[in-house]
Amino acid sequence: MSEKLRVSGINKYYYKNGERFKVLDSISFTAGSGEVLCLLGPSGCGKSTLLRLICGLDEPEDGLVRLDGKAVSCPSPAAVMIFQEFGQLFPWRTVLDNVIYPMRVNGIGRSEAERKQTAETWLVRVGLEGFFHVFPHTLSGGMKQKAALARALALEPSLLLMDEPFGSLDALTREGLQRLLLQIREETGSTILFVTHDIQEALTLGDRILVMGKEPGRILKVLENSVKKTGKRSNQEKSALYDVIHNLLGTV
Amino acid sequence: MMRIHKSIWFVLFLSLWELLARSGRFSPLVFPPLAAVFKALFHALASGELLQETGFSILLILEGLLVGAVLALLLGMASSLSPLLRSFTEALAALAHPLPGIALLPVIILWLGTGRASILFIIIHSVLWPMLLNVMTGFRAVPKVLAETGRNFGVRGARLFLEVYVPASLPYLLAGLRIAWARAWRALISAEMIFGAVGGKGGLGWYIFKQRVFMDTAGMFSALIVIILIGILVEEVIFERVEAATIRKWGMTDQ
Ligand SMILES: Nc1ncnc2c1ncn2[C@@H]1O[C@H](COP(=O)(O)OP(=O)(O)O)[C@@H](O)[C@H]1O
Ligand SMILES: [Mg+2]
Repeated sequence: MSEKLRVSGINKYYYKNGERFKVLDSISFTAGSGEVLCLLGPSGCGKSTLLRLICGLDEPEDGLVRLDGKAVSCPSPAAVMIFQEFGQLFPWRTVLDNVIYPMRVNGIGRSEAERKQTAETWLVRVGLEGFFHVFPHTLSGGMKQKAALARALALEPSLLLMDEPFGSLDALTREGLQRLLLQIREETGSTILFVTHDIQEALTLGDRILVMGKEPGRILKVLENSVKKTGKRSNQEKSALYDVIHNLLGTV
Repeated sequence: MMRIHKSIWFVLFLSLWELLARSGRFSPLVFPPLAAVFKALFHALASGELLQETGFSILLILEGLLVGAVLALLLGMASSLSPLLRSFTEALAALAHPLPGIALLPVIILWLGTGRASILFIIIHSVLWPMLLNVMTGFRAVPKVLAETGRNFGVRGARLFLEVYVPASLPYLLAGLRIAWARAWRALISAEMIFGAVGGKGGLGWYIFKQRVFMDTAGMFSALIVIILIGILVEEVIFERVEAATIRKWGMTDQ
């Protein structure tokens, strides 16, 4: 597995009430090509901040992010972010046009017709056939996240960044989307950095799980997710790993 | 329901008007009967004079709206890029916004004379400041997630403004345009009236003033009717339609 992402020695500070505080403390890790890496940590530990740095939306005080060997300095669709907020679709564009627009901006596809076809293929893949020409506000939360996923995939990003994308969905819808994401990853071999604060979700999705601690945000442990690898989700093994993480996070 | 109520009131107003006019208490020079007003309206329209004056006013206000709105967008963009420019624009807007365009008139006449340029200046002044305030508020209210999504897709510079910030703040921009229109329309009529007195030319305001000079009271009222109709057309038909076709269709009205 070749290296896709290398994060080395990241320190990041924010200001709160005029005081400087450390949000991220010497974060280093790598992600291999085709890997699903889960970033698991309590709310406020700096997961979103880390994703924004990897995406180039913000800059760290120290350290470097390398994607495909190149240093990331500004946002680009090489690493596409999917947010938790349902409002990430452009309300003034139809679902189809939401997918086409960033392709057009980045010159993906040789013609408008080709872009349209690619966009439609992805929308069908995520289960949004029949919703091409509606505006986002008419979609349910789960459908909006599906549309955001299709929009991201159509850009063929080198890395998919997902910031608790299913965090606001009901349990059933969330499970459906988790399955869909895993299937699509099998088909495309996408590399995914998936942020969650839900241990169960990390166990379902991650090939490896980075457990993060809080104040300052730091990596506590990197775990191989044996449960997912074996495929045989033996309950015993699963709950053992669950307990390990649970203890790491120190929550009740 | 609302429409029915409104039109019933309109009929009542008109009936009361007619009753008063026919009571014989007022000279038709002061209070012309409706028939005279509509006759004057018909003649003024038929002769093309009133249409010409209306066209002059409409063209002028469209020009002013366009220039004012574009200036407001440019200033709004610039001030969201630099804190220095932002404080500059905010200070400028704080000074200029409370100033009614018509109050600037003597100064403008001193600077630009009494031509079309002066009226245009007053319209732009009336449009620019309320529009600018709404542009700045609107840009600030653009959801962070939309702006970041745009940046993530590699949209930057002028394109980020035009293709993300402007549509994302459209509810604010349209609200600003409504205020700007109302201010500019009132300022325009007043300015035309005063420029008429100074010997300028054209416009609905000037038309009303001219009819007063000729003691054609019915003619004055016929121009007032045109002003009301244009106001209703713009505010209740055009703006309504634009909003229905954009922000309401996109579900952006409750943010
Ligand atoms: N722009 C910002 N300015 C100041 N503090 C911030 C900013 N963004 C986030 N923070 C703070 O940084 C910490 C980490 O935030 P975040 O990365 O959103 O955590 P998470 O995504 O893990 O919940 C929190 O304490 C949050 O309040
Ligand atoms: Mg977060």
